[in-house]
Amino acid sequence: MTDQVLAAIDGSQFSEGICDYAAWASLAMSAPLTFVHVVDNHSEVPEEQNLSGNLRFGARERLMKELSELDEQRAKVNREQGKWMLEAAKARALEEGVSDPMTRQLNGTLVETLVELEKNMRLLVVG
Amino acid sequence: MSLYTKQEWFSNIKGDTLSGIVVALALIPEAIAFSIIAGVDPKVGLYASFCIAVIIAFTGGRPGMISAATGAMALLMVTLVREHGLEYLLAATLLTGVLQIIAGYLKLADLMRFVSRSVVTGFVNALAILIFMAQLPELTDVTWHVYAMTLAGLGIIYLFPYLPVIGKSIPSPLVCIVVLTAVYMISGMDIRSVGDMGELPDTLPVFLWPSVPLTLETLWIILPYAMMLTVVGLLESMMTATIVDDLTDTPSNKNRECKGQGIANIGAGLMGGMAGCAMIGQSVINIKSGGRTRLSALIAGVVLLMLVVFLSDLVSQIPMAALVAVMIMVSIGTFSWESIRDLKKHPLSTNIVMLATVAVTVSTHNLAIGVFVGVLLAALFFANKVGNILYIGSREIEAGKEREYQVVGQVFFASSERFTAAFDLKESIEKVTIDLSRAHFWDVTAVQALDRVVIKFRREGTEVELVGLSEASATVVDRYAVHNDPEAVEKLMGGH
Repeated sequence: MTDQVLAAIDGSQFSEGICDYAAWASLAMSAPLTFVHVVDNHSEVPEEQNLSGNLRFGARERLMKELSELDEQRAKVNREQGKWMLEAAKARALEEGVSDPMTRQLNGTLVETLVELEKNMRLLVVG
Repeated sequence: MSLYTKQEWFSNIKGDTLSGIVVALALIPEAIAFSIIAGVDPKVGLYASFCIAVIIAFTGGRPGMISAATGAMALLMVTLVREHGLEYLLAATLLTGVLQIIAGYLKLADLMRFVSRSVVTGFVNALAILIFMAQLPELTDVTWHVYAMTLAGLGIIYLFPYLPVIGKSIPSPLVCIVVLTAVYMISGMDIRSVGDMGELPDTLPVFLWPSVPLTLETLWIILPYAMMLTVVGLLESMMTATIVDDLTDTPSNKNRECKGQGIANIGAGLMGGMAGCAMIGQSVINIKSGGRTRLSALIAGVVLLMLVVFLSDLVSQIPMAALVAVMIMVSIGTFSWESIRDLKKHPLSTNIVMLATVAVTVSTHNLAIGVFVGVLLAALFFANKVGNILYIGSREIEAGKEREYQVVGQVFFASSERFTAAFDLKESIEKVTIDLSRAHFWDVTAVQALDRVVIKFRREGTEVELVGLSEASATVVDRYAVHNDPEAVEKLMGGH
């Protein structure tokens, strides 16, 4: 499958435009269309800062638990949101006449994931 | 990953700046305490912490990890400093740096996969115990004032964070130090302070080449120390890197970290600092305080130096009791309390590995020896376990004439004796078939054991036929690179 049109959506204001362009390109090139949403669950910026600077009993284990719980919550929300966005994009593409748009959701950073998907794509649409 | 990607430096400026300051404040008491362990002036540890933290920010392979002067390293220097003096320590620090860079180029970080989880836990626990034990001299033969101050310090450290609002925005170890220093200065009580322990930095560090004779004799003095420092420094750094990897769920470049540690130690040695490595406690504090990128280590180093140089009069007034309180906190935070709970859950062999690592380290004051014993024990236990995966069955094909033995499992040094003993040489028989197609001969010991069995049968006048020997002995070849070839793995493990 090296002939795909890949559209990366992230829920920003450009998503609709990307969706339209990708649908148009898919029809024009008569190539299958896939929407991709990449979930990056490890934000570089920590949400909470605890500047108490002390270490108590089991400090490492506790911190590990806290951080992974935060990531877990964020990941679940992101995944739900992403699914919903992908559905919306799919519906929009169907409306525009694309016969069978596909959706994919992947974990990781956007750039790394797109590099991995590179070999399968003919055209990439990003916002 | 390039050195100056924006993401590795500036993706979390606020978090890194604040956490860098918190870490700097916690590094000061640690650097002073570790200098005292090593038997050098506090300025040696403080200069080291500054140099290492700043250089590793640029050269390290694990953003978010904090490196500085450490207790594990300080413990190894004691006799060198006592017998030969500071200049030899600086020379040993330089040599340590060179050796660590070589280790990085030889990709020795990959060897960390032989260090099992229980050895790491033992290392961490031993480190915590050693840090605690190093505080005991400050707590023996002293007046009650010291005990009162230390307890008050611990009280502040652990209770202050519960205060609303300020509790979580002002580092409690800092509050502990400020309050105890104020009490000490106002009351004028007769207890030891940092100023009594030796010289503090009064200038920025300057470049200086250690004044040791550049002879072979010097090399023979410092080489054993440098080798131990290299091993312990890299071990602690690799383990800490793994902890930070886990906490942040991001990968790190361990071999680059080795080289980075080496460059940082060379820098420290040339600026009058002692050798150091990554710090487990400080790295946890950094992550907890919101530090994630290289920036936090850089800020920690710079803030540390600024504070110490410009406030050296005040720093010299810090009572040792305040330092002891902070170090007890580090010890408590470093110790893996989970591992005590897990003792009941884990198999005995795992517990023995962990406890042996702790016991050997604490008795030798040398983490390298402790880890070596731990790794050795873990390997032996593993060999023993795998050696049990061997089954030898037999069936009579024709009564009194022919018997077939079937060998299933792993034959190597640990199981070769069991292998030999499984054959019944007493039986008077004409022919024996040994089916090896579902066995793996891992080493020469196994092959020799088979030879011995064959010869013994022959000497009883029994004809021996071996089936599937070539498949079974394919594993003897050292570079049996099957891990990337699913078919080869399938073939190797096919019998099971």
